Amino acid sequence: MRIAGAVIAVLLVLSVPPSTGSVFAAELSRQESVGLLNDGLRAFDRGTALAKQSPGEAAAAFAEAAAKFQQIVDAGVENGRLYYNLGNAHLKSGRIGPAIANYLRAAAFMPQDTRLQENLAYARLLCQCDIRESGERAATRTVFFWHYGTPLSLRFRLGLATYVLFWLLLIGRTLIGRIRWGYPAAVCLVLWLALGVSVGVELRHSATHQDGVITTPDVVVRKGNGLDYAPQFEETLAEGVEFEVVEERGAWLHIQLADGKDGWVQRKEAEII
Amino acid sequence: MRRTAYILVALAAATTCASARAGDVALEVSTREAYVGEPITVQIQIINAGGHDAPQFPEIAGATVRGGRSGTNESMSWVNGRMTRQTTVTYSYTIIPRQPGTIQIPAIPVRVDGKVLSTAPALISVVASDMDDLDLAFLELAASRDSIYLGEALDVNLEVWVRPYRDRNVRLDAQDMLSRVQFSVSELGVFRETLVQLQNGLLRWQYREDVREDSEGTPRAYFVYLLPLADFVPTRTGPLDVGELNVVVSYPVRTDVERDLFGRPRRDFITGRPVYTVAKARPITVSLGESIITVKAVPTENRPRLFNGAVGRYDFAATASPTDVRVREPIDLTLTISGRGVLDRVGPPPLAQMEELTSGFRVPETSIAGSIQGDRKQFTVKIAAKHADVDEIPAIPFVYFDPQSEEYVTRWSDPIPIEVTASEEVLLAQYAEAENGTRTGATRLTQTAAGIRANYADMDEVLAQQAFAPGWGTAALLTASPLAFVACTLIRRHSDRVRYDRGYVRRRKACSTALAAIRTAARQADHANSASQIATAVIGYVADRCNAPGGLTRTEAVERLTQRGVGAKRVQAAEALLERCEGLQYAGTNTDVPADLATQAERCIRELERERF
Repeated sequence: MRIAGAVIAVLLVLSVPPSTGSVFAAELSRQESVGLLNDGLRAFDRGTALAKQSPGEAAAAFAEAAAKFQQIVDAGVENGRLYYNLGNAHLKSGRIGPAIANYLRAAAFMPQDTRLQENLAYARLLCQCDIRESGERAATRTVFFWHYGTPLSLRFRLGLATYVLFWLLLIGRTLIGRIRWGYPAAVCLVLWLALGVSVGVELRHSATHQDGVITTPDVVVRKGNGLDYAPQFEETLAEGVEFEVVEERGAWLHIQLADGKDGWVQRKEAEII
Repeated sequence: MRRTAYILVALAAATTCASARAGDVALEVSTREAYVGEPITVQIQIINAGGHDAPQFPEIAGATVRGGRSGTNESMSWVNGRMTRQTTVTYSYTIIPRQPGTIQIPAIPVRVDGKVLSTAPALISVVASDMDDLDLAFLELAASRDSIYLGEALDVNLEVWVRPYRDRNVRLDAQDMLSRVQFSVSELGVFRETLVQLQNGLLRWQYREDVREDSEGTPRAYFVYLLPLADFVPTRTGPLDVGELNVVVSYPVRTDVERDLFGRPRRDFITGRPVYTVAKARPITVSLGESIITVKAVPTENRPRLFNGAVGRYDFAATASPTDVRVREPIDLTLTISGRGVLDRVGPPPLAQMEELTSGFRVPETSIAGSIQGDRKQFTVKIAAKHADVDEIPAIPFVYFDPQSEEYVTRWSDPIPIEVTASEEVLLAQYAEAENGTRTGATRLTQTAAGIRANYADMDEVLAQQAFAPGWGTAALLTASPLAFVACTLIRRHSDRVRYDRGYVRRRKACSTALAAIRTAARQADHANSASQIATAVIGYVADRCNAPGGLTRTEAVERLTQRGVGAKRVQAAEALLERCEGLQYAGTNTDVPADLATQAERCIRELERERF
């Protein structure tokens, strides 16, 4: 058991993608990144302190915090907690759309994070438009909870580990035939295939699909890619409504909402995740 | 054929089936005029909706709204061969008017198929019963005392006084009059629970006959129905608050002879007298006036600092376990309060405010829940000695207010001797573990949905690059794993072959064995023997390569080579070599063996090796 544990640990370490870790963006030094992050956090705290006395100044402080966090993101740092902080700053400055967009970006890295889930749920509560997910989508999410509930990198590492472990078990079966390697190898194969398919599907989905969030209030969804087209719905979309991009045509996006309905909105009215 | 025709007809009917107008709402009211206390049924109907949200019935001023039950009804109708199907979801409510005037039901919005539709508003006129002023019924509260202190319990009865109905034909008895009290549409405040117990048979209805003067001073007989409530604990001072009390009595106005199916008067089976029934009744709503029972606050004058709200008469004791402990080791301190009073409301003495205790002991500041067994309530709290100088748990005071003597009383527990030894190890973890593990009645916290959680501030965590980018190491692992498996498989197969396939081993070693034999033969002085050994080595090589049994002849060896597809030139060379060896073998011992025989044999072997036969 000890040996098996050690082997698994080694595999997990070995399977860590080389670029994951404390690597800082090339455009910013470690010191600059830390400085920006500290500035952002201080501005956020200042906004919190001013929230009751002076809402205007507080909003400006939160916007400043968002700008600082955004600079780090623009420098190439992709981090769930950073996106979470950025979402918080946007939300406190009253921008629900960018807040939800950044929470969703954070969810790609830490979908199970409790703070993130709570804040995203709160931001969605603030959204004036409650578009329910279609039953088919909800069922898919329920059945494939492990696909939607774990970050891509973790699934990749686990898949790689089970892949290597599978081959090691086959090697063991070849060299030391008297031990029953078949069952654990079969389990590893199933896990590897499931995780591999999951990773593959997500990579393909991210390459071919884009999600987005409405970032301006009262967006009119039209029947086509132009202002001459009639509105698709009687109601307008509130800031914070999430959608999937079906097609991008010039300055217009063909979007599909969570309930399956679709229409066209202007590119400037939304933020692609 | 007939079956097919039925199916076709059914299909035709299905294709001509049409729905009524989709997504509609309607409001239906059972009556537009009602007496105070008379229930009015209101229905919200949602017709042919694909999906809808349950309607929210608004509060109605001057009336009580109950219900909200829903039911679904489907109906089909045929008009000119066209079938119309209608699905109706009905939400039913009961409105009980509490005062005369007009009840206005506003337009009620209902979300149907994503659209917000509204019902039509409705007006209902409510008139006072013309029998309200006849003292036919009234309510009273009865209790053993006129005033109590807040924190005390009181047995209190709700008395429903109803005057018996009588006319020239019949006098309704107590049971009949009880059935006229409409408890289902009445507001009973804290007595609602009593009614449930009465209806479930857990309590028996009690009533008496009594006489009370009416407003004109005339003595009148009444049935008095009791709804008892034991150990009622008021929650605020002032007149005793028992909630809203509005009892509706459907008081008879006229009786008539009950008739059977054929219209004949029904008669009592035993007495032979006609059976009368209430033919007409009017609702009377009776309310409770100002309560005559007063709830007083405990006096603030001379109130001890450690008074914790206990009212009654109590004894108090304390025990501790273990009593031989180390510094900071937890001690279970059990406080027992027994006696007469509302133990539910009795809290433990505020230990954290007792300096005599906190100077020597660590005491939790959070409140603790107790457990009630019979007439005693126990609180167990973990305390810990702060230092080794402590030799006893001091006497603990428990303060309560005695409502009979109307003064505060302090009971003291006995001091508990303990032995505390110094400990170098800090037992904070043990203390916390014990405190968490055994605390009873832990507070349940309900998380709010509003607001956001704090930022992440750990620099390394926030600034770490988490982008998904598999590198060369991943590619190497992906490639190396199956390659390693293939290599191991080949090695295993080879070792198995070496171990079990003797022919394979012979073939592999044929060349080296033959060359070694040739070199050995070349060093021999006996030339004839040497030539013989060289020939044997070459023939042995052929036998090993072909996995043939030993002892082949020259001819057989040549045949084997030919059969294996060895080139003719090399076969001829081998045959010539073997002939030459044979000639030298029989030429006599003095014949010189050419020096190149061994070399020729070696070359022959190497040439044959290239054939890989």
